[in-house]
Amino acid sequence: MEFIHLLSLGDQGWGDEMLRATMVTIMVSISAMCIGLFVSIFGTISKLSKNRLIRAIGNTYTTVVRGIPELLVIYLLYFGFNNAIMSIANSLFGYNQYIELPVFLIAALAVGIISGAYSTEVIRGAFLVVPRGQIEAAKSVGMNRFLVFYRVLIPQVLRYALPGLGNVWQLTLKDTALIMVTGLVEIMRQAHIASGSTYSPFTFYMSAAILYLVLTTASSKALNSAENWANKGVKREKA
Amino acid sequence: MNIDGICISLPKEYLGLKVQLMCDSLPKLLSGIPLTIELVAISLSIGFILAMCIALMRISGSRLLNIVSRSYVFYFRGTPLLVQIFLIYYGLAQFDLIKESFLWPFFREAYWCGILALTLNTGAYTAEIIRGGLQSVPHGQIESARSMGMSGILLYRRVILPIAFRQALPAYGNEMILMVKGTSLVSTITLMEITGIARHIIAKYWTPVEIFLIAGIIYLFINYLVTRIVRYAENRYTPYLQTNE
Amino acid sequence: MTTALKIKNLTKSFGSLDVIKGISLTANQGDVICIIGSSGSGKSTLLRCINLLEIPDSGDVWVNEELISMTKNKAGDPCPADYKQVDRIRTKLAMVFQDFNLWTHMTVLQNVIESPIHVQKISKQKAIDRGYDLLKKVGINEKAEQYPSSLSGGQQQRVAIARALAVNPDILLFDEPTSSLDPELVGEVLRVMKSLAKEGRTMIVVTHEMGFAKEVASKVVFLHDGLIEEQGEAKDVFNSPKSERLKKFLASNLEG
Repeated sequence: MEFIHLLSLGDQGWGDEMLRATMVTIMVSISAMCIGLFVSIFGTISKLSKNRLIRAIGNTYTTVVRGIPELLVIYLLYFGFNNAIMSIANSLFGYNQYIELPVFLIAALAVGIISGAYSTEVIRGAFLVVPRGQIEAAKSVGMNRFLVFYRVLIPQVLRYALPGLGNVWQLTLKDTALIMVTGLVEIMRQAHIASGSTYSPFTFYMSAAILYLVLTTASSKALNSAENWANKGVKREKA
Repeated sequence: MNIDGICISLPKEYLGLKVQLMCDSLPKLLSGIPLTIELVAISLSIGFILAMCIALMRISGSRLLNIVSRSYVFYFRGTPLLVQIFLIYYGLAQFDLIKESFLWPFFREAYWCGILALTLNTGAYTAEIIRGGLQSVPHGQIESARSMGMSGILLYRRVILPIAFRQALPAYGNEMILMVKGTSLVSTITLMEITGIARHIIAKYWTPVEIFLIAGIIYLFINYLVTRIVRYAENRYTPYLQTNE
Repeated sequence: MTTALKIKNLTKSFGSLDVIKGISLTANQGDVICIIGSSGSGKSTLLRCINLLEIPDSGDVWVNEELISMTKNKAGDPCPADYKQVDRIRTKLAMVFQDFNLWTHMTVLQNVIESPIHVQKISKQKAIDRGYDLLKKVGINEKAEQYPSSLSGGQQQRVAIARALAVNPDILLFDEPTSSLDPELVGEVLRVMKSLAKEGRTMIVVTHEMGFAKEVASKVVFLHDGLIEEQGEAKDVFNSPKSERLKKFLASNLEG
């Protein structure tokens, strides 16, 4: 069958290119997720703040990024970053040649900012769900704010946030498919290149689909184990 | 009212953005809204019916139907929407069998391919939302109904479905917003909804940031309307759950 | 003998609702004070004002003759002047809650040794040894490695008492400790509390368990509508109540 030939590893087939593209997808996803988590720390602090202005900034961020199609966000950030860097370079250094930042960086940043908006919501929700009594008990034995935060609040927040963050990871993984418009060679772009070259779009897009399925399924299993570990002290109610 | 007249009165450039061009392109972008709404409405409607069927298949006793429905949901939730769109539009064209069948006039059109992809996608996610809604009906409520002699279709109609519907409402509202955003992906297969028109304008004038900004604002507005509708439905059907936010 | 606890003219309102309207109270070392009253009388709020889980609107609190210094924050609301003082005083005032509030992500033993190690900076081994001793004292040391979720309510509450004892407090505060428990589990918790009282611990207990109060309290305080309606020795309050409201309250709360 022809598709075996098309997908084989080595010079004749596209198999190794697809696998390499899969690595790129994984790398972008991990980077984006980490960037997102980092951003979500600020997002959560902002949204839980008592200061109205700071709260508004956080709310604007999550509302806007979650309300605009991811494709547009990626386009905006891709062109926006490049333009911004160029105009900064122009006004500061008078450098008016075409600058292009490394595509991987921009792609990870773009997906990261999207991922961060969803992570913010998850972590904020987890904060609000921790029972007040846990905090009060900590205060009542003399723990200062620092101890309460690190020894009681954060472990509980992570426990409640884990399922939601698992979802955000799956979302991030699938959003990286949209990076193909920036030219970065991840799974979708590689499939696009290969199918254009061999006139076998079904073979390659189906392979792409299967690769994504493998990634999401493996992630699911890993997240289930993580959830079980995080819930080791808690009896789960049967649905 | 002359749009051109208004636009000319704006500065040509402000903060490095070509404001006049943004204003000029607004009507063109707005003309993409009908197609966007159409895509969302059709795919949500058919997708919902599809999701109900899938949900029924899961709770039916049949092992085969169970496997089919679970595989469908697994596939469409485990792969990106973009892949699903490309597979249907580009992928199916690889097969002569499809090209010669009576279905070809449909699969040749980007419009029908887009609708099919969006429908199948939302069908899977909605099926999970329905399943979650049904599962989250508290056992106590079902037991109290049963203990009064209610069973079968009556039980579903009067107790289980209304409660499941209310539980699932927030999640489905979210799904509606995701669908609105999903329509932007069909711009990659040449459909001229909002994002498609935006890319077309950009190809001509090369002002990506300005045009995508306006397009983004339009989507924000649409999603804002959807959120209001969902919140109205939540207030109407679950007034007892509302807190003062 | 130093006064363990002194409260003078405490008031507290939530919004427009005045919950505590001016309460003064003194507890000497070794006193077991039981605070009784119907719901809404301000009992829990009073207790929570002592360890500053609620901030009183006005009034003074002395713990071991040390005044908790208060000031006003930017919005003009009262707040503690020195949070370090608050943390320090709280270790002298351990509280046992109605809902136990054991930390669900830690084992029973970890719950007990948490504050000694991290707040009082006791060495880990010493804290563990003490922890086991305390768990044995409340009769639950075989569950040391288990998580709170696998314990019954009565067992959890006894762990909570051990956790409170672990910080070596001068005063133990109990906020309706048996109200969340099934009737058959109430006894095991009351037994522990009685033995603590016999040891001479200073305890302030908000409770509905009249039998316990009768048996163990050195002073009973009856609260009504944010004020002390009547107070005195247990036998006086229970056997010859003076106020009408107290008579009504006792009639509806005692079984026969």
